[in-house]
Amino acid sequence: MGSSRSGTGVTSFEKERIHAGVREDLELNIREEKKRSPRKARPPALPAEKKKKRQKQESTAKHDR
Amino acid sequence: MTPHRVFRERRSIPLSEPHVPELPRYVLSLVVVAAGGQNRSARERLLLANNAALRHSLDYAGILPSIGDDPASNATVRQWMDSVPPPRDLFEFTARLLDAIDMRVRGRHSLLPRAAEDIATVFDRAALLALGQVILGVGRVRAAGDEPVSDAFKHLAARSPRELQQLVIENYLGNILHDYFDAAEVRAAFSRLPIDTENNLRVKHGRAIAKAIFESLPDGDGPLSAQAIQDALREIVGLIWLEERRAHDQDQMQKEH
Repeated sequence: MGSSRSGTGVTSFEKERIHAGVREDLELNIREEKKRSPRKARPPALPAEKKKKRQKQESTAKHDR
Repeated sequence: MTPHRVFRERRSIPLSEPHVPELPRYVLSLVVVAAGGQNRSARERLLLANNAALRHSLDYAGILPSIGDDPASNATVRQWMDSVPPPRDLFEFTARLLDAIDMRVRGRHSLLPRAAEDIATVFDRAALLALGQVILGVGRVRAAGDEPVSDAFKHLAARSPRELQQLVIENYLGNILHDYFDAAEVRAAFSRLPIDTENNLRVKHGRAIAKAIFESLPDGDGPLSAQAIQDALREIVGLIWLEERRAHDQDQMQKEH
Protein backbone atom coordinates (compact mmCIF):
# COMPACT_ATOMS: atom_id res chain seq x y z
CA MET A 1 0.00 0.00 0.00
CA GLY A 2 1.30 3.42 -0.85
CA SER A 3 0.02 5.35 2.18
CA SER A 4 2.42 5.99 4.99
CA ARG A 5 2.84 8.00 8.15
CA SER A 6 5.06 10.48 6.35
CA GLY A 7 2.13 12.90 6.09
CA THR A 8 1.76 13.10 9.86
CA GLY A 9 3.72 16.33 10.06
CA VAL A 10 3.16 18.38 13.20
CA THR A 11 4.43 21.96 13.42
CA SER A 12 6.15 23.20 16.58
CA PHE A 13 3.13 25.44 17.26
CA GLU A 14 0.75 22.46 17.05
CA LYS A 15 3.11 20.36 19.14
CA GLU A 16 3.14 23.02 21.86
CA ARG A 17 -0.65 23.18 21.79
CA ILE A 18 -0.92 19.41 22.23
CA HIS A 19 1.72 19.44 24.99
CA ALA A 20 -0.14 22.21 26.83
CA GLY A 21 -3.27 20.03 26.84
CA VAL A 22 -1.34 17.00 28.10
CA ARG A 23 0.26 19.11 30.86
CA GLU A 24 -3.17 20.38 31.88
CA ASP A 25 -4.56 16.82 31.92
CA LEU A 26 -1.65 15.53 34.02
CA GLU A 27 -2.08 18.33 36.56
CA LEU A 28 -5.79 17.63 36.72
CA ASN A 29 -5.13 13.92 37.32
CA ILE A 30 -2.67 14.71 40.11
CA ARG A 31 -5.18 17.06 41.77
CA GLU A 32 -7.94 14.44 41.55
CA GLU A 33 -5.62 11.76 42.88
CA LYS A 34 -4.79 13.96 45.86
CA LYS A 35 -8.48 14.53 46.50
CA ARG A 36 -9.20 10.80 46.39
CA SER A 37 -6.37 9.77 48.69
CA PRO A 38 -5.29 12.66 50.90
CA ARG A 39 -1.93 12.15 52.64
CA LYS A 40 -2.21 10.61 56.08
CA ALA A 41 -1.33 13.06 58.84
CA ARG A 42 2.11 12.34 60.31
CA PRO A 43 2.04 10.93 63.85
CA PRO A 44 2.99 13.52 66.45
CA ALA A 45 6.73 13.70 67.14
CA LEU A 46 7.91 11.80 70.20
CA PRO A 47 9.21 13.83 73.08
CA ALA A 48 13.03 13.92 73.18
CA GLU A 49 13.35 11.58 76.16
CA LYS A 50 11.20 8.85 74.62
CA LYS A 51 13.11 9.22 71.37
CA LYS A 52 16.45 8.61 73.08
CA LYS A 53 15.03 5.63 74.94
CA ARG A 54 13.73 4.08 71.72
CA GLN A 55 17.03 4.61 69.92
CA LYS A 56 18.84 2.95 72.79
CA GLN A 57 16.47 -0.02 72.70
CA GLU A 58 16.95 -0.39 68.98
CA SER A 59 20.74 -0.33 69.16
CA THR A 60 20.68 -2.92 71.97
CA ALA A 61 18.45 -5.13 69.92
CA LYS A 62 20.90 -4.87 67.02
CA HIS A 63 23.85 -5.92 69.22
CA ASP A 64 21.91 -8.87 70.55
CA ARG A 65 21.28 -10.09 67.04
CA MET B 1 -20.80 31.82 8.51
CA THR B 2 -19.60 29.52 11.25
CA PRO B 3 -18.08 26.13 10.34
CA HIS B 4 -21.00 24.52 12.18
CA ARG B 5 -23.49 26.01 9.74
CA VAL B 6 -21.44 24.91 6.74
CA PHE B 7 -21.51 21.30 7.95
CA ARG B 8 -25.26 21.45 8.52
CA GLU B 9 -26.08 22.69 5.07
CA ARG B 10 -24.03 20.00 3.32
CA ARG B 11 -25.32 16.95 5.12
CA SER B 12 -27.49 14.65 3.08
CA ILE B 13 -29.85 13.08 5.66
CA PRO B 14 -31.51 14.53 8.75
CA LEU B 15 -29.54 13.85 11.91
CA SER B 16 -30.35 14.27 15.56
CA GLU B 17 -28.26 16.88 17.36
CA PRO B 18 -24.69 15.58 17.51
CA HIS B 19 -22.59 16.31 20.57
CA VAL B 20 -18.90 16.30 21.38
CA PRO B 21 -18.25 13.64 24.02
CA GLU B 22 -16.22 14.54 27.08
CA LEU B 23 -12.59 14.44 25.93
CA PRO B 24 -9.33 15.72 27.41
CA ARG B 25 -8.15 18.91 25.74
CA TYR B 26 -5.12 17.30 24.17
CA VAL B 27 -7.40 14.83 22.39
CA LEU B 28 -9.38 17.76 20.97
CA SER B 29 -6.08 19.26 19.81
CA LEU B 30 -4.97 15.96 18.25
CA VAL B 31 -8.19 15.86 16.19
CA VAL B 32 -7.78 19.51 15.14
CA VAL B 33 -4.14 18.97 14.13
CA ALA B 34 -5.01 15.76 12.27
CA ALA B 35 -7.78 17.59 10.45
CA GLY B 36 -5.22 20.03 9.11
CA GLY B 37 -4.65 22.48 11.95
CA GLN B 38 -6.14 25.88 12.55
CA ASN B 39 -4.84 27.49 9.39
CA ARG B 40 -6.13 25.14 6.71
CA SER B 41 -9.19 25.72 4.57
CA ALA B 42 -12.44 23.95 5.48
CA ARG B 43 -12.11 21.73 2.38
CA GLU B 44 -8.65 20.51 3.33
CA ARG B 45 -9.73 20.08 6.94
CA LEU B 46 -12.56 17.79 6.01
CA LEU B 47 -10.42 15.26 4.14
CA LEU B 48 -10.17 13.46 7.45
CA ALA B 49 -13.87 12.63 7.08
CA ASN B 50 -14.32 12.65 3.34
CA ASN B 51 -11.60 10.43 1.92
CA ALA B 52 -12.34 7.59 -0.50
CA ALA B 53 -10.42 4.92 1.47
CA LEU B 54 -12.71 5.48 4.48
CA ARG B 55 -15.81 5.44 2.25
CA HIS B 56 -14.88 2.06 0.76
CA SER B 57 -13.88 0.68 4.18
CA LEU B 58 -17.29 1.64 5.62
CA ASP B 59 -19.18 0.27 2.61
CA TYR B 60 -17.32 -3.05 2.71
CA ALA B 61 -17.70 -3.35 6.51
CA GLY B 62 -21.47 -2.88 6.13
CA ILE B 63 -21.69 -5.73 3.62
CA LEU B 64 -19.39 -8.23 5.41
CA PRO B 65 -22.09 -9.80 7.70
CA SER B 66 -24.28 -10.73 4.71
CA ILE B 67 -21.57 -12.44 2.66
CA GLY B 68 -21.95 -15.95 4.10
CA ASP B 69 -19.17 -18.32 5.10
CA ASP B 70 -17.58 -18.72 1.66
CA PRO B 71 -16.50 -15.28 0.48
CA ALA B 72 -14.48 -16.79 -2.37
CA SER B 73 -17.72 -17.87 -4.08
CA ASN B 74 -19.42 -14.51 -3.56
CA ALA B 75 -19.55 -12.44 -6.77
CA THR B 76 -19.27 -9.09 -4.95
CA VAL B 77 -16.20 -10.20 -3.02
CA ARG B 78 -14.57 -11.64 -6.15
CA GLN B 79 -15.02 -8.26 -7.78
CA TRP B 80 -13.54 -6.49 -4.73
CA MET B 81 -10.47 -8.72 -4.65
CA ASP B 82 -9.23 -7.97 -8.16
CA SER B 83 -7.71 -11.49 -8.40
CA VAL B 84 -8.99 -15.01 -9.11
CA PRO B 85 -7.46 -17.58 -6.69
CA PRO B 86 -9.42 -17.85 -3.41
CA PRO B 87 -7.58 -16.74 -0.27
CA ARG B 88 -6.24 -19.55 1.97
CA ASP B 89 -6.94 -17.86 5.28
CA LEU B 90 -8.48 -14.70 6.68
CA PHE B 91 -5.10 -13.01 6.99
CA GLU B 92 -4.51 -13.35 3.25
CA PHE B 93 -8.12 -12.39 2.51
CA THR B 94 -7.75 -9.18 4.53
CA ALA B 95 -4.40 -8.23 3.02
CA ARG B 96 -5.71 -8.70 -0.51
CA LEU B 97 -8.95 -6.85 0.25
CA LEU B 98 -7.09 -3.83 1.65
CA ASP B 99 -4.66 -3.85 -1.26
CA ALA B 100 -7.62 -3.91 -3.66
CA ILE B 101 -9.22 -0.86 -1.95
CA ASP B 102 -5.91 0.98 -2.19
CA MET B 103 -5.71 0.10 -5.92
CA ARG B 104 -9.26 1.34 -6.38
CA VAL B 105 -8.58 4.66 -4.65
CA ARG B 106 -5.53 5.13 -6.90
CA GLY B 107 -7.38 4.15 -10.08
CA ARG B 108 -5.37 0.95 -10.63
CA HIS B 109 -8.11 -1.63 -9.94
CA SER B 110 -8.82 -3.76 -13.01
CA LEU B 111 -12.58 -4.18 -12.38
CA LEU B 112 -13.78 -1.29 -10.22
CA PRO B 113 -13.41 2.26 -11.48
CA ARG B 114 -12.27 5.21 -9.39
CA ALA B 115 -14.84 7.98 -8.82
CA ALA B 116 -13.80 11.29 -10.39
CA GLU B 117 -13.28 13.10 -7.07
CA ASP B 118 -11.41 10.24 -5.32
CA ILE B 119 -7.81 10.87 -4.36
CA ALA B 120 -5.26 9.15 -2.13
CA THR B 121 -4.81 10.97 1.19
CA VAL B 122 -2.64 10.73 4.30
CA PHE B 123 -5.62 9.13 6.04
CA ASP B 124 -5.76 6.06 3.74
CA ARG B 125 -3.42 4.07 5.96
CA ALA B 126 -5.60 4.72 9.05
CA ALA B 127 -8.78 3.78 7.15
CA LEU B 128 -7.43 0.56 5.61
CA LEU B 129 -5.77 -0.47 8.85
CA ALA B 130 -9.09 0.11 10.65
CA LEU B 131 -10.96 -2.24 8.29
CA GLY B 132 -8.20 -4.83 8.72
CA GLN B 133 -8.38 -4.50 12.51
CA VAL B 134 -12.14 -5.04 12.43
CA ILE B 135 -12.05 -8.09 10.13
CA LEU B 136 -9.20 -9.78 11.99
CA GLY B 137 -10.45 -8.74 15.45
CA VAL B 138 -14.08 -9.80 14.96
CA GLY B 139 -12.93 -12.84 12.92
CA ARG B 140 -10.76 -13.79 15.95
CA VAL B 141 -7.49 -14.10 14.07
CA ARG B 142 -4.18 -13.81 15.90
CA ALA B 143 -1.71 -15.07 13.26
CA ALA B 144 -1.61 -16.02 9.58
CA GLY B 145 -3.21 -19.43 8.97
CA ASP B 146 -4.85 -19.28 12.40
CA GLU B 147 -8.48 -19.24 11.34
CA PRO B 148 -10.16 -20.62 8.20
CA VAL B 149 -11.98 -17.96 6.19
CA SER B 150 -15.36 -19.72 6.67
CA ASP B 151 -15.11 -19.75 10.50
CA ALA B 152 -14.05 -16.12 10.60
CA PHE B 153 -16.98 -15.12 8.37
CA LYS B 154 -19.39 -16.89 10.73
CA HIS B 155 -18.10 -14.60 13.49
CA LEU B 156 -18.49 -11.57 11.22
CA ALA B 157 -22.04 -12.63 10.26
CA ALA B 158 -22.97 -12.69 13.96
CA ARG B 159 -22.42 -8.93 14.18
CA SER B 160 -24.73 -6.27 12.78
CA PRO B 161 -23.53 -4.20 9.78
CA ARG B 162 -23.69 -0.99 11.86
CA GLU B 163 -21.70 -2.52 14.65
CA LEU B 164 -18.90 -3.32 12.18
CA GLN B 165 -19.14 0.16 10.67
CA GLN B 166 -18.91 1.74 14.12
CA LEU B 167 -15.86 -0.41 14.87
CA VAL B 168 -14.24 0.84 11.65
CA ILE B 169 -14.76 4.47 12.75
CA GLU B 170 -13.53 3.69 16.27
CA ASN B 171 -10.33 2.08 14.95
CA TYR B 172 -9.88 4.75 12.28
CA LEU B 173 -9.98 7.54 14.88
CA GLY B 174 -7.82 5.49 17.25
CA ASN B 175 -5.19 5.06 14.52
CA ILE B 176 -5.20 8.77 13.71
CA LEU B 177 -5.06 9.90 17.35
CA HIS B 178 -2.20 7.49 18.02
CA ASP B 179 -0.26 8.61 14.91
CA TYR B 180 -0.49 12.30 15.82
CA PHE B 181 0.24 11.59 19.48
CA ASP B 182 3.48 9.91 18.35
CA ALA B 183 4.28 12.64 15.82
CA ALA B 184 3.92 15.29 18.57
CA GLU B 185 6.46 13.32 20.67
CA VAL B 186 4.24 13.46 23.73
CA ARG B 187 5.60 10.33 25.42
CA ALA B 188 9.16 11.62 25.10
CA ALA B 189 8.23 14.99 26.61
CA PHE B 190 6.23 13.71 29.61
CA SER B 191 7.91 10.98 31.62
CA ARG B 192 5.07 10.86 34.19
CA LEU B 193 2.44 10.03 31.58
CA PRO B 194 0.32 7.00 32.64
CA ILE B 195 1.18 3.81 30.75
CA ASP B 196 -2.36 3.38 29.42
CA THR B 197 -2.46 6.79 27.68
CA GLU B 198 -1.90 5.47 24.14
CA ASN B 199 -4.36 2.62 24.66
CA ASN B 200 -6.96 5.09 25.95
CA LEU B 201 -6.67 7.07 22.71
CA ARG B 202 -8.18 4.00 21.05
CA VAL B 203 -10.44 2.26 23.54
CA LYS B 204 -11.69 5.36 25.34
CA HIS B 205 -11.50 8.50 23.19
CA GLY B 206 -11.76 6.98 19.68
CA ARG B 207 -14.64 4.86 20.95
CA ALA B 208 -16.40 7.85 22.55
CA ILE B 209 -16.30 9.87 19.33
CA ALA B 210 -17.48 6.88 17.24
CA LYS B 211 -20.36 6.36 19.69
CA ALA B 212 -21.39 10.02 19.46
CA ILE B 213 -21.35 9.80 15.66
CA PHE B 214 -23.59 6.73 15.52
CA GLU B 215 -25.95 8.12 18.17
CA SER B 216 -26.56 11.07 15.87
CA LEU B 217 -27.53 8.80 12.95
CA PRO B 218 -30.99 7.32 12.30
CA ASP B 219 -31.80 3.92 13.82
CA GLY B 220 -32.21 0.82 11.64
CA ASP B 221 -30.96 -2.69 11.01
CA GLY B 222 -29.16 -2.53 7.68
CA PRO B 223 -25.84 -0.87 6.95
CA LEU B 224 -25.70 2.91 6.94
CA SER B 225 -24.51 4.64 3.81
CA ALA B 226 -20.85 5.57 4.08
CA GLN B 227 -21.79 9.11 3.05
CA ALA B 228 -24.14 9.52 6.05
CA ILE B 229 -21.44 8.30 8.46
CA GLN B 230 -18.82 10.55 6.86
CA ASP B 231 -21.19 13.55 7.06
CA ALA B 232 -21.70 12.90 10.78
CA LEU B 233 -17.95 12.49 11.30
CA ARG B 234 -17.35 15.77 9.48
CA GLU B 235 -19.89 17.49 11.71
CA ILE B 236 -18.30 16.15 14.90
CA VAL B 237 -14.84 17.19 13.68
CA GLY B 238 -16.21 20.71 13.13
CA LEU B 239 -17.69 20.78 16.64
CA ILE B 240 -14.43 19.52 18.12
CA TRP B 241 -12.62 22.26 16.21
CA LEU B 242 -14.91 24.88 17.82
CA GLU B 243 -14.59 23.34 21.28
CA GLU B 244 -10.79 23.28 21.09
CA ARG B 245 -10.71 26.87 19.89
CA ARG B 246 -12.95 27.95 22.78
CA ALA B 247 -10.76 26.18 25.34
CA HIS B 248 -7.65 27.77 23.84
CA ASP B 249 -9.22 31.25 23.86
CA GLN B 250 -10.27 30.83 27.50
CA ASP B 251 -6.69 29.93 28.37
CA GLN B 252 -5.38 32.99 26.62
CA MET B 253 -7.85 35.22 28.47
CA GLN B 254 -6.84 33.72 31.81
CA LYS B 255 -3.16 34.30 31.03
CA GLU B 256 -3.83 37.92 30.13
CA HIS B 257 -5.68 38.62 33.40
